[in-house]
Amino acid sequence: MRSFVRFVFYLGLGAFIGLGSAWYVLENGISLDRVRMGPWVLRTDAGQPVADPYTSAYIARSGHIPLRLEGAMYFTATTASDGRELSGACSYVVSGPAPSGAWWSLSLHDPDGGLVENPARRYSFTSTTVFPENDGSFVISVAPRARAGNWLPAGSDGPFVLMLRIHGPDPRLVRDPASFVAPVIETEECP
Amino acid sequence: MRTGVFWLGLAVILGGIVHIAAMLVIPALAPKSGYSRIEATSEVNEPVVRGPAIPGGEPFPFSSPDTVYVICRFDVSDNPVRFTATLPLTYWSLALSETDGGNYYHTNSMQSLTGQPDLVVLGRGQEFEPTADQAVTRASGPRGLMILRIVLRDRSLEPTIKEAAAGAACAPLEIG
Repeated sequence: MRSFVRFVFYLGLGAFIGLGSAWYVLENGISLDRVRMGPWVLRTDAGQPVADPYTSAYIARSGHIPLRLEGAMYFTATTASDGRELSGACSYVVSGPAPSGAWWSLSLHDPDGGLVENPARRYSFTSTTVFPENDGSFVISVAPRARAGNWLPAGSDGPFVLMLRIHGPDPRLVRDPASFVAPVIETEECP
Repeated sequence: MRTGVFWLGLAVILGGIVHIAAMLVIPALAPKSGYSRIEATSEVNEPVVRGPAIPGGEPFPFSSPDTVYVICRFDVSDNPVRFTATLPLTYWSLALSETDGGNYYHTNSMQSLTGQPDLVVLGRGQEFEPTADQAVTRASGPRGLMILRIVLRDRSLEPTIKEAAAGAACAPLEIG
């Protein structure tokens, strides 16, 4: 009887370890294919027909339908360059050289991937809507209140995710994603 | 003591097996996968127009507020499927994805001879002789998703692009 109880206990412990670790990995988006560039993360296996199991599970669970790298590159940031979580209560300046590809956009999402309502009804800037600097680079303010120039409203006080997508990326970037010159996300003001 | 370590080791090994099994099963069973969501709101071989994403009206998570999507849940079990659209001058991409989200085919406006999407998707054992303007590829399985992403270069183009997207066709092709 005692052996049976012990068997059931360790069986339950094993199931708990297995399911718990699977849940933790998915909740935290852990995968084997993440390339980190400053605050930006790229999943190189996302959209690939044969992706690592962690990426496949993450994509299936998230509902996202990504293109493989040759079609589009999706960089996400949940923190500023100083490592602090992005918050709609703070103001940030996102700046960098124009990404090399057919078209790019920078959009602001809630942690579940939804867009965040804001009075200006502006949810992104793209290579065709951003006002570039003289050298072709871009500077975008992400802030709760209106700013001059390229202002992307945060919409709410909660945490948010920035997604930089490059459609038709430069083949050199596809071959060597780590060569991407990632935009800087500078925290300007945080109450 | 030894017996306790033995059982603990066994539990950790079992945990590893459960972990791996869960990771392998999730892509096939996830109720909110991209394919499941589309499946619930569309018919086979009939294109649906979605987007551009707005708050509360996102076609799927992290969808773009600057893109109109034409999505076709295709089935090539019996016949090939031909996808066509006539679009204004803008960047577009056309992709085929497996039911678990793997993207195994991709083309875009810069690779197209005519600047317009015209793709024939073949099932197993099916043959088709394309014209010079057509692209042809073989599906990785009987079912999948075809997604045309049309970039909105400017907000003012949204009505024009939506109208063009509504005219897209994704129909079985009768072959002799």
